[in-house]
Amino acid sequence: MECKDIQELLSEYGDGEIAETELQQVKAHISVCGDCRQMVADQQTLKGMFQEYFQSVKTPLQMEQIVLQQIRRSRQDAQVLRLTMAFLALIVLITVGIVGIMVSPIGALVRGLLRVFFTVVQGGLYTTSTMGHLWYSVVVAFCIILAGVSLFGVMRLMRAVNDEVYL
Amino acid sequence: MREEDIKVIRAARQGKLDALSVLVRNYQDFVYKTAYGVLQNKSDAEDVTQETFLKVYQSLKDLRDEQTFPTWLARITVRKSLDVIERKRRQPVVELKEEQCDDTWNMFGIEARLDLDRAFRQLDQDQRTILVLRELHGFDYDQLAHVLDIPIGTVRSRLHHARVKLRRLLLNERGETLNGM
Repeated sequence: MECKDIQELLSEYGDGEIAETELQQVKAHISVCGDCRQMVADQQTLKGMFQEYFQSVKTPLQMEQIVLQQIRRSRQDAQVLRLTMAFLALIVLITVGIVGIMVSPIGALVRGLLRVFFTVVQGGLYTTSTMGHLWYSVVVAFCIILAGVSLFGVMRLMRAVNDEVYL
Repeated sequence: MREEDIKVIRAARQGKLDALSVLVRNYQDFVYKTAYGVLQNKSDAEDVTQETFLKVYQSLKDLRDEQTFPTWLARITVRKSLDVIERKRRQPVVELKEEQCDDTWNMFGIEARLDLDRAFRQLDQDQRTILVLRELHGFDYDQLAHVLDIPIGTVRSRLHHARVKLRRLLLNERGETLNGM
């Protein structure tokens, strides 16, 4: 084999990936050829240089935090998507259910019940209109209760989100 | 692969964030250095590191054999890095400055690093990729063929040509021999 043929094998020789038959030929050649021996030596030098070169490449200090933050964000996005889909499915289900009930024989009963409900509401409204200023007090009390319930709900939601973020 | 790493991978596959956190900590150097080696740009390497781990989080459940995690991870990293190169090729942007040095030099001489940096940049992306995977991570030829999705014969010839070109470029920079660099 000539130098040119041997040199094509030096890379795999240096990596220990050369076939047994070719290994003997390469060994025999480099024992007598200075140029090819030098190429093998240079290849080893290059390996060392590479190791040192990449030792000086430093991963940014905040990398781990940035990556985890992104993963958490993706996890939250997926959760929001899942909840949205579930909500939409629920809306569709309820709509289909209502329409189904209305067109079925049970619909007549439901319509009757609704009429009773509206009559009760109307009666309630009529009663409050006769209450004068007491009516305003009822509205204010109702608003306070509603605000309290909303605040409680928002705080629970925020706590749930925080738990998710610091998981 | 260590038994400890395998346990962490299994836990991360079940969606446990603390296990995923350990995985990121253990493999962030592996991913970042691979991406940096291919892209030669810190900012792009950071982006690829993020994208790679996001992909790991999303696809870890598909990994059947935990032992193959390093090659699987290398494959994702290389693909993401090549995507960046492809994206840049389609939408070329003006680089503000060429990144040549890091602040940390260890014992490696500045001139030697600059020479290697310059020479390394002149290799094409495939040659840079295969050299990083072989010289930095020590993947064998079968693993390289798997990661890069090329025949083993191509692994042999690509490594040979990459080394010959790198040696030639460095000899042009440094003179007769590489020893003493």
